[in-house]
Amino acid sequence: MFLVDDHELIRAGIRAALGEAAEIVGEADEVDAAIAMILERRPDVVLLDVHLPGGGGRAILESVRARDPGIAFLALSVSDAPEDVISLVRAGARGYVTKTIAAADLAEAVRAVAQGEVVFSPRLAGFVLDAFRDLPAGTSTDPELDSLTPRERQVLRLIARGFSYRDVGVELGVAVKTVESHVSSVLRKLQLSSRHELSHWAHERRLL
Amino acid sequence: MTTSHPTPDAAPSGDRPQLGIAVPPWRRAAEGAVLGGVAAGLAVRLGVRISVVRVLWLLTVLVGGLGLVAYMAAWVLVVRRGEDEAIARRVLAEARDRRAVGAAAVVVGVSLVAVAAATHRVAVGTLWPVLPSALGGLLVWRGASSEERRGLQTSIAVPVVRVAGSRGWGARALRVGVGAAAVVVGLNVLASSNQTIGTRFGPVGQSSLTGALIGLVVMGAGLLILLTPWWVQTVRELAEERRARHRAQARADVADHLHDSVLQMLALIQRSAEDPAEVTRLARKTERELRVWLFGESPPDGETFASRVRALQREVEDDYAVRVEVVTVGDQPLDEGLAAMLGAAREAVTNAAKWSGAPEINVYAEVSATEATLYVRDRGRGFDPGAVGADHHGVAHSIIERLTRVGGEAHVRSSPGEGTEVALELHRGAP
Repeated sequence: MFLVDDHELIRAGIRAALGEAAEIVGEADEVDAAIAMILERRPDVVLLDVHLPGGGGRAILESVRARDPGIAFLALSVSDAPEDVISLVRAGARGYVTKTIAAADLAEAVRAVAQGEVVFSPRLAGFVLDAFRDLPAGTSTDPELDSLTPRERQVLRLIARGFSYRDVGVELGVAVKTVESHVSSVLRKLQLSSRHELSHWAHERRLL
Repeated sequence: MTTSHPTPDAAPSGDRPQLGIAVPPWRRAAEGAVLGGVAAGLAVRLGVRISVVRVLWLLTVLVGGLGLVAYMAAWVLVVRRGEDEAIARRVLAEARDRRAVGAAAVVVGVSLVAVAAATHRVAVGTLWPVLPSALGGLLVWRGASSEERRGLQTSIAVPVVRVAGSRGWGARALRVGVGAAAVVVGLNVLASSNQTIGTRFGPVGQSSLTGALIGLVVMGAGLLILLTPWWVQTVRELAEERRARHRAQARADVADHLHDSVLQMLALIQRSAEDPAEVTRLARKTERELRVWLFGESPPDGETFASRVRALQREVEDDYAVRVEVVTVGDQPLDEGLAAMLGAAREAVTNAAKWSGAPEINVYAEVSATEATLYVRDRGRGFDPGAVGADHHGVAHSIIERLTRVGGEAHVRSSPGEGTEVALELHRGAP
C-alpha cells in the first residue's frame, strides 16, 4: 500500500499501527509527488489524507484514477464533515475512515479495500442514510439510483449502530458476502446518484 | 435636437431603416455607442452613415458649443433602444433625484446669471454650453439604466482606469505628458487673463473672466491626471494594509483559541501523565472542542434532538474515559417523548461506560416526524439479562419505564462476552 499524508507524525503512527499487516511501498506528503509515485509503484491500496496542501486528496484520487482505475483508495481524515466524506467517495474512494480509528480496524479496512471490498464507517453509513432520506415521490430522474432498497437501509442502519459486516450478517441471517454486495451497491448509488443532497454537497465544494 | 418625448417603440426596428415602415422613431443606439449612442441613433433615424453624423456633431461642438448642449439634451431626452423611458423622465419620477437635479439646475442658472451680470451681457462663447452640459451629465449619472451604466463603464471608465492605474512606461509617460501640458496651458491662460483683469478697472471683461475659469478648469484637470495614479496607489495600499490587518487578526484569533484550548489541555495532559484514563478524557474533550470550532459542527446547546444527543456524548466522555461514537440521522425539535428517550439513552450510555469495560460506545439515533429510534451499543463484557434482578443497573426503571410512559419501547440485548445493545423506539404522533 501507499501512504499519503502531509504530517510526518501521522505517517509514523500509521506505519506503527499497521505493522506487519501491510507492506508500505511508498509515502508522499504532497499532491504532485504522490501522483507520480503512485503511478510508478502501483500499490493495491492508497491510504489518502483528505486535507492536503495543493488540491487535497481529491486531486490525487482523480488524476490517478483517470490513468489507472485499478488502484483502490481508502480515505483517511480527521474531519467528519459530510461534504468531505461524500466528495471523496463520489470521486471514487472505496471507503472512509477517520484518524481516530483503532489500529486493528485500520489494518482490517486496508485489507478489505485491497480485496475490492467497501469500507463503511458508522459515520459514513449515517451520512448516506441522511442523504437518501425522505425522497418525495416523482422528483427523481433515476429511481433505481436515487433511492435505497429496504434491505440496504437495514444494512446501513446496522453499520451505523456499530455492527461489523460479520455482525450484520449474523443479525440478518445472511452471509458476509451478501452484506458486502449490499454495501457495494450502496457505494455505487452514492457515486452515481444525482440526488439533490449529494450534488448539493458536491456543489458547495465547487466540484461540479 | 429634439424636445419631444418619443413614445415607446412598437414597430419592429433593426439598425437600418426598413421598407414599408414609417420612419422609425429616434432611439439612442444601445450598441456601437461611444457615449450616449445619440449619433449612432440619429444615423439610423436619418439613414445616413454614422461617421457623417459624428463629424457634423463634432464641428457643431467646436463651433460655439451648441452641439455639446444638443448632444446632452438628446442623451437625456431620447429613449435608449430596448428601454421605454427617457433618462429625464426616470430622474423626474424619483423624488430624491428630482431635488438633486433641481438644486444643480439652480446652481447652473445662478452661475450663468452671475457671469452675465459681471460681464454686462449674456454669456456666450465657451462658458455657456459647459454648465448646461454638466447638468445633463448629472442627469445621466442619476438616471441611466443599469444596462447603460455598464456600457458606459466599459467604454469610458475601464480605459480611463486602465491608463490611470497602469504602471507601464507608456501609460505613465502619456499621463505625465498630458497632465503637465494641461497644467502649463492652464497656468498660461490664467496668467494672461489675470493680466487683462489687472490692467483694467470697471466691469471685468467677459473674455478675461471666462479665460480665468477655463484656465482653472484645465489646470485642475491636469493636476487630476498627474495625481490620480498616486491617489489610486494610496487607496490600493490602504486596502492591502487593511487586508493584512484582518489576516493578522485572524491569526491572532487562531492563536488565542489554540492557546485556550489546546495548549492548556496539553499542559494538563502532561501533568496527569500517570493517569491514562484522565489523559484520554482530556484529549477527547480537546478534540471535540476543536472539531466544533474548526468544522462548525452545531453547537451542543441547541434544543434539537441531534444536538442533545451530542451533548450527551460530551458529558459521558467527560465523566468516563470512553469514546462515544455518535451517528445521527435526521433531526427534530425536542418534545416530551424525545426528552424521555434522551433520558433513557443517557442511562444506557452511562451504564455501558460504567460496566461494560469497552473503550468505545456506539450511539445511533434516527429521528423523523413520525418515528424515533436510538441504539446504544458496546462490545464490552455483557451480562445475562435473565440473571439480573428487576432493578439492577437501573435498567428496569430508568430505561424501560421512561420509554413506556411516553408510549415507546425499550429492549435490552446482551450476552456475556458479546457486549450489550439497548434499543429504544418511539412512535411519534403527527407533528
